[in-house]
Amino acid sequence: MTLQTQAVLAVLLDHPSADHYGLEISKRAKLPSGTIYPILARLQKAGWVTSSWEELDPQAEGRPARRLYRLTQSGAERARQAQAETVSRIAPRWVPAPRLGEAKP
Amino acid sequence: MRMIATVLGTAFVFVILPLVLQDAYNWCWHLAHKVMRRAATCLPEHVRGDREREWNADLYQLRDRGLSALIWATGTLIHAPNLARIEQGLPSFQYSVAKRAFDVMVASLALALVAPVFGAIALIIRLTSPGPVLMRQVRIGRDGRSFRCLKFRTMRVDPSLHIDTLLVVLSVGFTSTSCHSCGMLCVAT
Repeated sequence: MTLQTQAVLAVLLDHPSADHYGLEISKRAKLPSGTIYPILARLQKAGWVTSSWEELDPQAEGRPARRLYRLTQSGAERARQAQAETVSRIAPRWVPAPRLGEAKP
Repeated sequence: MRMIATVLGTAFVFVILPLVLQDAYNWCWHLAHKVMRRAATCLPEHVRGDREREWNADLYQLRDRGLSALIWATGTLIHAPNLARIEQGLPSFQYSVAKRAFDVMVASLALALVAPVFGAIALIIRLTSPGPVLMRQVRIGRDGRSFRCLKFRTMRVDPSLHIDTLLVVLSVGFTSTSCHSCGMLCVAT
């Protein structure tokens, strides 16, 4: 699993039972459109997320209905598992880079 | 005279500039829609309608962001073929096996072809400066796993011993071409 996919899953896992739409996920995962849509499509094909159409009256709201993505039950479990695995692999070696100004000679 | 200039300047800033900017925004916005429609044509027909609806809704959020909308649409277009492949289904087992076989074969062939070049490079590194030919670095790879990455050494083993000479050479080079960004280097020497 790529780190970009992990970033998308992390966003979805923040509110596992909530609906998210593409642009929102993109903003929160800090990934561009070209990365987000294929990842969501792939996750959907694999059964990790489902998508549905937002129920609203476009006339009343003044905007078109969004396509909403949500983790499935098994998707959420597997996403958590994948996240934990990655953390356990990277964490032991992980040394955060010093921020500017904090660096000591 | 000054009066006229003031009036013209004010008119430019408050009337003409907003109009031009508004025009540019609208133009970006319309172009973004065109790009999105083009992206949708890359997709298989059974998903095209839904994707177009989704993209329209997402793009609508960026309606007064001008260039952002265009960038968003362009990103979608660039990766539309990728999306099309995914929509057609995840790769089959046979495909995965064939791809792996292809990767291994092409990589082996390429390695055999460039091996003489690698040998020559190794020889040159060994002969021109003291130290090992290869250097190892830890990199993060697939699935966040770290792996050892082998590289030909391009730097000296003992750079600190040469820093003084290097700074002099650099500062002479920079000052002789009157570069303005050399302040720090010149001070350092």
